Amino acid sequence: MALTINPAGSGTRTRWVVDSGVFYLGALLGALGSLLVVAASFALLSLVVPSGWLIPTAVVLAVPPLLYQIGLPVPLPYRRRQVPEWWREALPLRVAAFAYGVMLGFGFATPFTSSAHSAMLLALPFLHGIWPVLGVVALFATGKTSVLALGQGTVSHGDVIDRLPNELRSAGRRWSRRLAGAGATLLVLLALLASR
Amino acid sequence: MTADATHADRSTVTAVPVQARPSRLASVAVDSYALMAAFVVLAVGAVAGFGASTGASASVAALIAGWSASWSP
Repeated sequence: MALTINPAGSGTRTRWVVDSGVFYLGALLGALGSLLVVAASFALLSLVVPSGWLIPTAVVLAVPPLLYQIGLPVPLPYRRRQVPEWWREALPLRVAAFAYGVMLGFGFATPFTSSAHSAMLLALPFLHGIWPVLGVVALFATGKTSVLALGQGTVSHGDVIDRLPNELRSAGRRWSRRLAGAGATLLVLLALLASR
Repeated sequence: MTADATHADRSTVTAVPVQARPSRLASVAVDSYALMAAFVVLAVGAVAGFGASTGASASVAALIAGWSASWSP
């Protein structure tokens, strides 16, 4: 996303900051949309499953992504498509930033690249009160937006490309990422089980 | 070094394009080790400060999920 939303693409640094803010708002709205999907799914599930089984169901659903996260070839029903490239050309940058934010924040329209994402979504219906839910969603959108910092101090798209890491070159970095996602997932699963 | 040698050295110098140097913020934004370190700190904080409540754990997962997914290879 930093290749689209950066100072060179936005024109000025101020516009880039605003575009980043618009992306954040989109990610926030998208994440709220995914919350509605998950909450509605669990509400429907509660009609046929005893309430005591809802948390174990959430835990079971979070396990396959966790196994996938640590490199096991577990089949997952993820949508394989990434965000539409043509939006960059067809839409004004600010509109595209919002649309990309919504799509990436929603999550179900693109692959889930971290098991922590699905764990977070599965935990949301079990939080008490609207503010903790909004806080978690806001943190997710913040994380999604953090990559835009890559454009800080750049003057061209090429500068941003030069900063992109090649994670595949380093097993240490790849495993750091995998373990961070897996660890966050385990933390959520243990918390859910402890809350029963 | 003679004057001729100095002249020769200067003539072979090629222009190197100057790249924008990443700030610390930009470097950390896409650093897997920083991601891992953040997870450890946040996880310890969630366990020690909030008894690893569902809300605190989901908050850690939210930040890690958003951050790590944002620069997937």
